[in-house]
Amino acid sequence: MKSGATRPELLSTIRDILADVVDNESLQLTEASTAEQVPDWDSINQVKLLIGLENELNFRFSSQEVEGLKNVGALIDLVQRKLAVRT
Amino acid sequence: MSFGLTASVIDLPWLQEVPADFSARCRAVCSGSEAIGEALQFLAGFRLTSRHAAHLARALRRCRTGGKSLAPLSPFRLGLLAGATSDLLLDDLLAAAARHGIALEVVAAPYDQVMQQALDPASLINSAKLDAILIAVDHRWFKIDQPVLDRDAAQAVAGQMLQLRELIQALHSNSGAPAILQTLPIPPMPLFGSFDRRVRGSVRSMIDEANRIIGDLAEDTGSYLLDVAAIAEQVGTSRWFDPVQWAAYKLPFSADCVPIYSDHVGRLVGAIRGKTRKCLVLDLDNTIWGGVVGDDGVTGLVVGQGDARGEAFIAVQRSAMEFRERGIVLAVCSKNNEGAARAPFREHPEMLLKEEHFAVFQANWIDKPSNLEAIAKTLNIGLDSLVLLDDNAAERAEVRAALPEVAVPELPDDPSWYAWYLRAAGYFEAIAFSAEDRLRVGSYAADAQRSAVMTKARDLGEYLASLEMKISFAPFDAQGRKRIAQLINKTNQFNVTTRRYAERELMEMEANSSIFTLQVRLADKFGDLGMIGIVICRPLAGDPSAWEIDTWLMSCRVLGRKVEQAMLAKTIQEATARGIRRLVGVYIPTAKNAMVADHYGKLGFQNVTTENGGQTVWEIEVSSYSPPLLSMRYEDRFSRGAVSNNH
Repeated sequence: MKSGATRPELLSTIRDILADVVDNESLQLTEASTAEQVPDWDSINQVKLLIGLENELNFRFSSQEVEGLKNVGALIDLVQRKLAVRT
Repeated sequence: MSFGLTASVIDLPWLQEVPADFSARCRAVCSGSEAIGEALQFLAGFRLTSRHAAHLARALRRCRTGGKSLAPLSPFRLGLLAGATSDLLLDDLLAAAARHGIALEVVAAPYDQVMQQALDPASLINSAKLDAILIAVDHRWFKIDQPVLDRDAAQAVAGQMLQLRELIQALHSNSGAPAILQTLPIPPMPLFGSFDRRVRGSVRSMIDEANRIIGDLAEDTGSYLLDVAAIAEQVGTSRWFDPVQWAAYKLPFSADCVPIYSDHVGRLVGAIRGKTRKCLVLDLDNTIWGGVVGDDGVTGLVVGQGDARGEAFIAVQRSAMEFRERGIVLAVCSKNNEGAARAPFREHPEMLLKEEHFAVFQANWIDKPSNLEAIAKTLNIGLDSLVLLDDNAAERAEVRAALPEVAVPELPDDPSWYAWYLRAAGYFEAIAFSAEDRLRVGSYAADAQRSAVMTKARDLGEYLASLEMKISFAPFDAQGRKRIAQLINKTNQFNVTTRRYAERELMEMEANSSIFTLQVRLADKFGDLGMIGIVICRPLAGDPSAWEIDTWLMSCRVLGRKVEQAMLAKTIQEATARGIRRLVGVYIPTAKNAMVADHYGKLGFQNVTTENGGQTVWEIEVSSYSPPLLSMRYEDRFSRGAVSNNH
């Protein structure tokens, strides 16, 4: 995926990884989704999601960045910032 | 991923790349008709990332919950006492254990409850009826992650390590299961620099001391040892320790290292259950020496000091010798004439390996799976005890397809890496080493019949189809001339007449329309094998309606692929187009071409005469010939028939 990934593209990438992590192929996800709303999206699956995203998009989060993400939209904001810095 | 020039254990490069339909195959495994345990072990044999491992682990758990038998995988219940986040390990551990023949169940204690779990007789770990308990803690758990410069560092370390002794003793009395201890990797964070080695209270020196004590403790308490320090060292400690993942998630080591760590746990648990492989089977040409002995002769082989490739092959031989000395049985499996294959061991002065080092010596032209079965049978061990080292990707694929139990490491192009791949793969993981281990090799060698075991070839139809071969035919031309000359002047084994021609003579043939020339190239899904076959036909003296086959030669690399049948079909097609009604072939015996004595017979020619000295003459009527159906695509560059057809 290129650094100019759109929000819908990133949402789809996040959905695919999370669907895999929580083992729910038909997982529905929106930018407003939060961990509380998704069954099995616990702290360890959050780690798997973040590491999965790093591997998929080939960047690394810093330790501060991954704290306090309030919903999927906030994660997309962060990923877009990371990808923009890289170019 | 490409491993052309370098490799890291972190990528498990000795394993095959994961197939595209891996996840689908994982999902299907439970409902499939094949033996589930075997199917799981097969899927675990790929180069799995953590994401793949999750799919496999899910499949394994689903099969287990569904009450399905996982045999021949051996069940093993592993307790996990971790000093930091261990949840990321669980799926990878299951997958890696399956790779090593184990149906693993992991009972993981809650985060950082190591001591509490051990001391409480009713704890999860102590009541779980485990086969072993992995104590996964590092220097931070032992609190030797900071230098001790103001007091006796050795005493400080010894005091910390007392905890571990207590822990093991508590587990022994409360659970009964043996412990698996881990050594401690040293973080790449020097204080004084090189001088850290000389300061007993530096973190480096304290961890060194701790590792020495851990080794002794394993010995004293009958515990197993997982040398995590060695794994981290092989990976590189700057890659092993990830400060961000430690700070953010309390991962004791980088998530990237989970697959290789898990593979080592799998090896160890496999070794505990007796799954360690017992026999290293070596291919010969371009695996333990450079070159093809049948064509290049003993003196033409590259092996030994003073040459980069020669050194690489010596390193392979040295590894085999070292394995043998610790009790691994050696065998040969090579497509060669037996006499030619044995000659380098007897005659080449630089060879480390000698014939007496091998318990079984299979050199013949029959397929490798049949020969590997013969080796296992001769040694009275299972196919799952064999490792095959072979430079040829197609042979590796053939063996994997026919005998998935045999371990077959991938190898890169550069032989300098062969010994590295073989040893990094960990096929011969041990939990003990005794005098009997060393003696065993001798007894095998004494018992085994040293001559080749007779084997029957198997039906290779499916395998050949899976190679996706593409064969292409063309008359001799300027572009191919150099290579044609090389083949004509170098090929000794698959060469029915061994007639040599210079480039100038080839040019004359190109220009002479009464001579039929054929150059054959072959490619398969593993790559382009280049030019592998040559045929030259001339009008037969005294019969203008017949061709005499002046030359027919092939590279031994393509034996057993029915290439000769395709070449005959093409030759007869061209003969027909030119009004030729009969082909006559001659076999002229030499010291090296016994393998083609019956070449024409196998292709359906009739034996006409046999002369003194073994020369035979054969012929076939074009009208009586019908082309066989072969699993390969044809490409034709004969000007008249620029036709390409698929069979």
